[in-house]
Amino acid sequence: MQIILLALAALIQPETLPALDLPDRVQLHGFASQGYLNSSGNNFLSDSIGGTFAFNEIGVNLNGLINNNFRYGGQLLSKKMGDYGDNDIRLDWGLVDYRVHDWGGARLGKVKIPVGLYNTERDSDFLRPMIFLPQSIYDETRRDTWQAHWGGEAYGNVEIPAFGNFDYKLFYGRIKYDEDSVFHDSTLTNINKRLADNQQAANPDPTLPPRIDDCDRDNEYLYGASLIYSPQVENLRLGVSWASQKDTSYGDSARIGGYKTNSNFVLSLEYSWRDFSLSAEYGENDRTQTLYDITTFDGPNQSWYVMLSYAATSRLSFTALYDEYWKDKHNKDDSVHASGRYNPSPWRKDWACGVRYDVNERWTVKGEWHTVDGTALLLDFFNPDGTERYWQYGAVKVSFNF
Amino acid sequence: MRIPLKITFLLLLMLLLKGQVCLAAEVILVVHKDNRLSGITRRAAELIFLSRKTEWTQGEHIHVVVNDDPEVYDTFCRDILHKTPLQYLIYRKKMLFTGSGIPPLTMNNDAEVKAFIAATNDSIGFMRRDSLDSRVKELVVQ
Repeated sequence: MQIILLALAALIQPETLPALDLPDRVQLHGFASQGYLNSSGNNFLSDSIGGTFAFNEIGVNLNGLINNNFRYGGQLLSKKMGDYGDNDIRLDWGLVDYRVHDWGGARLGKVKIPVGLYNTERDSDFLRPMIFLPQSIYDETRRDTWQAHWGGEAYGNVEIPAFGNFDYKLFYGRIKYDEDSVFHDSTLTNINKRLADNQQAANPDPTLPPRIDDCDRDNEYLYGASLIYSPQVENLRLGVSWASQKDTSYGDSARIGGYKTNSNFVLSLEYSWRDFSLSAEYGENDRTQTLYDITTFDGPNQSWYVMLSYAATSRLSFTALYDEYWKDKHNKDDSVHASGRYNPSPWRKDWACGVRYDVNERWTVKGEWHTVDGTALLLDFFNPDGTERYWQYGAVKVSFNF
Repeated sequence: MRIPLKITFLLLLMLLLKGQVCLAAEVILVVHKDNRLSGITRRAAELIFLSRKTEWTQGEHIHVVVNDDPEVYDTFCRDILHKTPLQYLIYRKKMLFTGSGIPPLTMNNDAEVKAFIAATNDSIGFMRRDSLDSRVKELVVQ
């Protein structure tokens, strides 16, 4: 279906398909993308060894102005990544926005979570240089849960002539977890592995069930802040963002534990000079997880990347990336996965290169290749027979937007 | 007949580069003729076209229009915004697709921009100097 839609779009010249500007102050826009993902060594996000075309997104959004200060908007998203998503239609974001002045306003509804420079734009492939954002900070397996929250944010922009420009956001809300998500199913698998280990232990805890059939997670709160500073140096942005959340975990409707993000911060830098763009971010996510009164993890991870893009022409750009992730900042040796599985390489060092070609304002073609050392962030859920330390993945993707 | 790989590569590169070379136009900022300002800093102009500054100093809402004429757009992006044309295009699309705002109106050429500016108080746009006439007023970038 996705391929048919893209083929239909290909038949339509950009000039004949303007974004639909309805009378006065309403705009309808959208996008569709179709990708191909392949990997060797390990399955990544799907059964990707051997390749998969189950990798697409379709979005439609409506934006409207009520007056110069008050607007509304929403975006429906349908996506498929391997066996997940299944092109069901979901609300990606939807909000009302009241801007009092440039220095202050508020948004209410389902609002994107502004952690790092790029979390808010994850669903729109054509907005970024590579197909995959750096996984250390923008972990694709958490995309469904860490994309938007129901709540609100206060925001504003303050220009101080002697210093520069400050963009701030303060947000508070709740995350709703979907059952049809990689995150849900991998959590269920991990819990059942823990329960199976208990059954096989010399002195098993008799109060624990042998397994559970379903799990759920209820978010009690999410709050945080983001500040992006643009100094007088041209095309330089410096950012800091921070968030905290608390969840309660359920197994077959009974409370079995909790997950708390004590502090998740990201420091960001973006600089453009002529046809070069440099992005670098560093983050730590200090989290605590308990299951059946046992702390399965407690401490910060460590993430950072450097990404350099070069626009060879106005349409063609090349990008190189180095992305590094450590599951436990304070213990960089072997470790035990949340499922209880021993992991001899709990890091992820990803070297990647990519190319982007903008055929015109509406069509974008991208390709990239990654070579990875380490198995952190890989889900054993997709790799039941174990993982390999050195592995590769690559993708190509075609996107259309109007 | 087999085409050598190098020639194929060069042909592909030429195709990719096709249409990238353009002559720079002299581009100016224009506002409604009743606008009391005569000049603006480049920084302030940048903030306006990035939708970070949405009010004139007296508090009126700024109505921004982007000129999509390739030559004018390219020069404006590089000279005023100090961005590549693609960077500014993506910036405006980010506003739409992430829920952070509605980007400025886009018009096809100088004539449309001029007509919009002439008809809209508190508006700002950009066009070729050659297209300037008494219906709109130049805003000098200081």
